[in-house]
Amino acid sequence: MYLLQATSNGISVVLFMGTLGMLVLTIGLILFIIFHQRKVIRYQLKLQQMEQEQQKILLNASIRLQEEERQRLAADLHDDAGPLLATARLYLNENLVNQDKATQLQSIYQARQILDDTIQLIRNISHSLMPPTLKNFGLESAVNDMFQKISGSGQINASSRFHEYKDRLKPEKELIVYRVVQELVNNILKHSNSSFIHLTQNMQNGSCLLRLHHDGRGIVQTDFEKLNKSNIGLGLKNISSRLRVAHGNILFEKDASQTYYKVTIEIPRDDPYESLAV
Amino acid sequence: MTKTIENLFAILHYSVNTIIIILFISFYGKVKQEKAFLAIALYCLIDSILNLTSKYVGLGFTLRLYIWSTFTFVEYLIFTLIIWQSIKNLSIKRMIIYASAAFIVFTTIYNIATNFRRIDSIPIGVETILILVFSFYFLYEQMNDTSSLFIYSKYQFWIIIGFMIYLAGSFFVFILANFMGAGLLQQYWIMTNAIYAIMIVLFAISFFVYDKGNKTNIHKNLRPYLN
Repeated sequence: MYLLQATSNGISVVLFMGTLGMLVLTIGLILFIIFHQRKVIRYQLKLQQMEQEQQKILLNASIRLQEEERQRLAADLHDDAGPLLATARLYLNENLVNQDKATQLQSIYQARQILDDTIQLIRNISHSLMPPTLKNFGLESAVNDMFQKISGSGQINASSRFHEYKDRLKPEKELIVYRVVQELVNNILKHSNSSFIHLTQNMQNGSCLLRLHHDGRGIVQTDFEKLNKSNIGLGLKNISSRLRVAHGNILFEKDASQTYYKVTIEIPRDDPYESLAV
Repeated sequence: MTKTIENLFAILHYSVNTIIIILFISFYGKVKQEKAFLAIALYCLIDSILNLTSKYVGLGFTLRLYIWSTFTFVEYLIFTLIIWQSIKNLSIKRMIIYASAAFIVFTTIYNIATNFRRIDSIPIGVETILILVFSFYFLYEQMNDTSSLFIYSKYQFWIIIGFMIYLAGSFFVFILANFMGAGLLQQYWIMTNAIYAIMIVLFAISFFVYDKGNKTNIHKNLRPYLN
């Protein structure tokens, strides 16, 4: 009311300052919103870019791994099965009919031996592609089988125990978990120089947890993330991409006692409506 | 000298209005689907007609006052319609309708019951506050909508900041118009005209932003012919 009753000069000041203030506030607010939105969008774009980079690294790793696997298969077939079959053919050549009966029997016996070896070799290759225990009896049996074989070598003490695995995961998820465990165990055997590996399975908050302990040299989560972003560590990238498909997580850490390394794999339980698409 | 400047700004006022009408006609084929452009063209046309009528046609003082108070009404409806169309939140849209209904009732009662000297300051003040609040909400909504493009790539942004700058810049002039001397009011009317011209420039930008956005979208929708 005072303002409204003020003199013409007073009104002029109020008018000028008020108008200026309103304009400054409005323009300031508009500029703030523009810059804030730009900042947020740029940040999101950067995140998306990083995500794409990560996807690219994982895809490259998966392609490289696939190529390596093909090369290994090709080498196994070419270097082992090929010569065996060629040798069997030598025993069963055209001159066999012209030879005496004892030599013929000897040759056939040799050829049969070689064919048996070839069958075993092909069976081994096939098992390495898809373990029959996993397919027929599930993750628990396949992992136990794997650990028994490792322990049987006498080089390292390996044991596994599944505590709560009455309800099996979907076969696709079981295969993913099996491959991840296989890769981790392989890494431990190759790099850690540990004296034991122990695997336990539990359920927690609707998720299946697998914990691997070993007493050798290991890595922690920061190392894992660093290796995942770098061009080395193909196996670890493969673990990441497999777990991403199963919506799972992995945690590399040192035990509270700082004596053991611990790797925890967390796989959510199956959702009946869930698909394994990324 | 002051009279010449006043006349210059009055000419500027009509010129910018004409520019918008010309732009609307030129872009008609492209903007006919967007009601906002029709609304701003209509706004400029009504503003020009009312200004010319009150200046050159010998209307009585009371009739002129009623015409201008009706213009407040029309201006509010046009600005609100554009903001209402641009906002996505349904509950806020509903609130805008309720607030508009309350404003219409209030303005009608005020205009009938009150004798004002020059202009309807109070309805203009309420209109300004309401439009500013709606505009701030629009900007807030856009700020949080990071899925969309940059805020300034939307044509609505340019129209709405036009409203905001015009209303913020003319708020005190309109509020104090009935308490000012004629000379002082004339001086500040020049400033209001200048701010009005800025608003119209921002409206003009919105036509080009819309046109540019449309061109980009056309390219985005192109699919290569894969046999």
